[in-house]
Amino acid sequence: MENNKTNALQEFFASVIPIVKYILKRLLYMIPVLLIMSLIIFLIVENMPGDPIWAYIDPETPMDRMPDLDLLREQLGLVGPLHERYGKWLMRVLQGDLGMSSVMRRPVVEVLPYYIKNSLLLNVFAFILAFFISIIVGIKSAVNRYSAFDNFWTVFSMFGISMPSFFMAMLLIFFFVIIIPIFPFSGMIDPRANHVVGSLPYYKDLAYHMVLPVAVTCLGLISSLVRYVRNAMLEVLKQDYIRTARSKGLKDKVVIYRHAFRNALIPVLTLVGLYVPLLFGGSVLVEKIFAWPGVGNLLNTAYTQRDSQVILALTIFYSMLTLLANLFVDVSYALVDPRVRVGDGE
Amino acid sequence: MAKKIKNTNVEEIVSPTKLMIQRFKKNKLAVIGLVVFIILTSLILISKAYITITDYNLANVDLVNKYQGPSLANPFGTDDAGRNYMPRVFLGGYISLQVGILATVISTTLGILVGGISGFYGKKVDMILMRVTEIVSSFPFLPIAITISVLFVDIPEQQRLYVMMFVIGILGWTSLARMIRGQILSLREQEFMTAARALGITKRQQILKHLIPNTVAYIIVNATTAFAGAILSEASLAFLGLSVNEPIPTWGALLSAASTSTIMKNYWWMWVFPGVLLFTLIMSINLIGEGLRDSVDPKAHIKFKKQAKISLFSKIFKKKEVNA
Repeated sequence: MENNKTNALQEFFASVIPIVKYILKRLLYMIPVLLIMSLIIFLIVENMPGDPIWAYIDPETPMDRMPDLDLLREQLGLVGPLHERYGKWLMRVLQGDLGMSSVMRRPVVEVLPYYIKNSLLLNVFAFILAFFISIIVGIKSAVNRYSAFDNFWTVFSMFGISMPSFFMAMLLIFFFVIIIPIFPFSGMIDPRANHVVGSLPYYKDLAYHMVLPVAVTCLGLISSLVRYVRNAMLEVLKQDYIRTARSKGLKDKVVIYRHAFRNALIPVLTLVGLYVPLLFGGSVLVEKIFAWPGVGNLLNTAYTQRDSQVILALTIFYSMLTLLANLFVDVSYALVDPRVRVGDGE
Repeated sequence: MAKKIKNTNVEEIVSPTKLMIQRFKKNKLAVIGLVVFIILTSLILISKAYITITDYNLANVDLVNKYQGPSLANPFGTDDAGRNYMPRVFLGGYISLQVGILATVISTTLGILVGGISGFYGKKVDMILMRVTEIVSSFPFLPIAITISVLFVDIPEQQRLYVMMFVIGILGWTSLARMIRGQILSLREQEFMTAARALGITKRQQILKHLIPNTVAYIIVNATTAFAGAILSEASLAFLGLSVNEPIPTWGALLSAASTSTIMKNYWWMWVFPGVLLFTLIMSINLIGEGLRDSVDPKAHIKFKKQAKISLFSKIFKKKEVNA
């Protein structure tokens, strides 16, 4: 008994250690990438139009009570040679100081969470919905290749890929807001309704406002995801072990969902990771047209108002998101597909 | 063709390019896409030529006739300043095409260079270049484009167009680079490359004369999709107000200006025409790209390919018989 236990433990460690090693290795890989990214972002900071110092000073300060600008500059680490400024800037960012918004006159770190929350709400919802629909449709299309169902979705995804998201949004607004007024035009909550935050009518109103932006985001996503799932599935269905499973007399459903789909999921998983940053990037347009108070909209207003510190903070946000998504893809790859870790170790 | 075979008893040799064209012609959707694309492009070019030749004033305001619906005099209606909408819409298309083509040239050149070097030299060069590719490809496009445009806020309008082409091109080369690298990695191991190395051909010649020509078909397919993507990107950037401004029209900017509820409700021609044209242009290019992909793909089981395979096998068997 005792022996069995230690054996099982050993086996467990033997299977876990390569994964941990792999993750650590990937984390190490991230360091140079992070440094390069931070350097690029810093160079953008340096070349931003406008002096960031003015964000720290109230515009209504009378001339005689003006603080010592040179002293302030020194405190903020804005003087000295380039590499020194880079070091100071990096330290400040690592401590969570992302500068001041020159328009809102508040530290950017305080402003960001609200917008990130709103964007997450929209994107996570759209993503999950699109993912489920595309997996179901993709599998069905691959299994019934060249059927009417498959052809319909091929044409659909062709349409979706070619359709600019803002024109799609305009079409939806035209049909479902102007012609048949069932959905609200824009915003997140009806400001006239005065709902208590967290109450049932509040969530109802929120869901009501979410329908159209989620629909636009979903349509774009589905049209590229469906093709991907379909092709991954077709690739797997060609394999010998699928024929073996079929010849064993297994039911079609078991073959498709247990044997084929699990393996088709691996490439699809990569796509999920890669789509997260893209999704946040793409929602700039959707959030603009529906006036959804999310990160994309913030970036857009920051651009029109030349609020350079906010733009920078958002660039950092997007880069972090990208890196995390890449890490997620790598790790999930290693967890799902043992060949990856073995291949990497050699 | 069939007659020729009967008469001479020798099969006509079809070059890969010809084979590709034949397969492309069989794809009806792709041919429709090509026709639509040609019609649209010529309409756009004709209006551009008309505007340049007659020195048409795009800022010509006629407030009496503002928001007139489509009629014979103004086929696309008039806009908020009473200007004829049609030349404006078509000129927007001209800018889309211009940005699209140049951005595609930039991204394709970069993709070939990076992919070619990475695949051919391998090892450390490959590692570094692929890391760079990974960084560039994982950046979300619009936020980065916005950040870069902030740096170029002060430059004059006309030069903004070049900034946009540059931004779209510099962010769009990664998928091509990856693909070319993969292709070259597999081509490098083939016999004709061993022969090339054995003959002492310089590395530059090996890449330019032997490896790249073998990937041309894939490059063309990729460039077509990249072209559609670049037009979409340009429209998106213009919609966000990052492109050239009034009085020069772009499709994205026209749509952005028309995206208020009053205009959408009352003056449908203001947003339907640029939107539909933009969609049609991108769709036609995507259809062409899809057709090209199918005709390049060796896995596509079309009659021609099967014939070629059979003839190839029969040749081998014949040779064996002779040898025996």
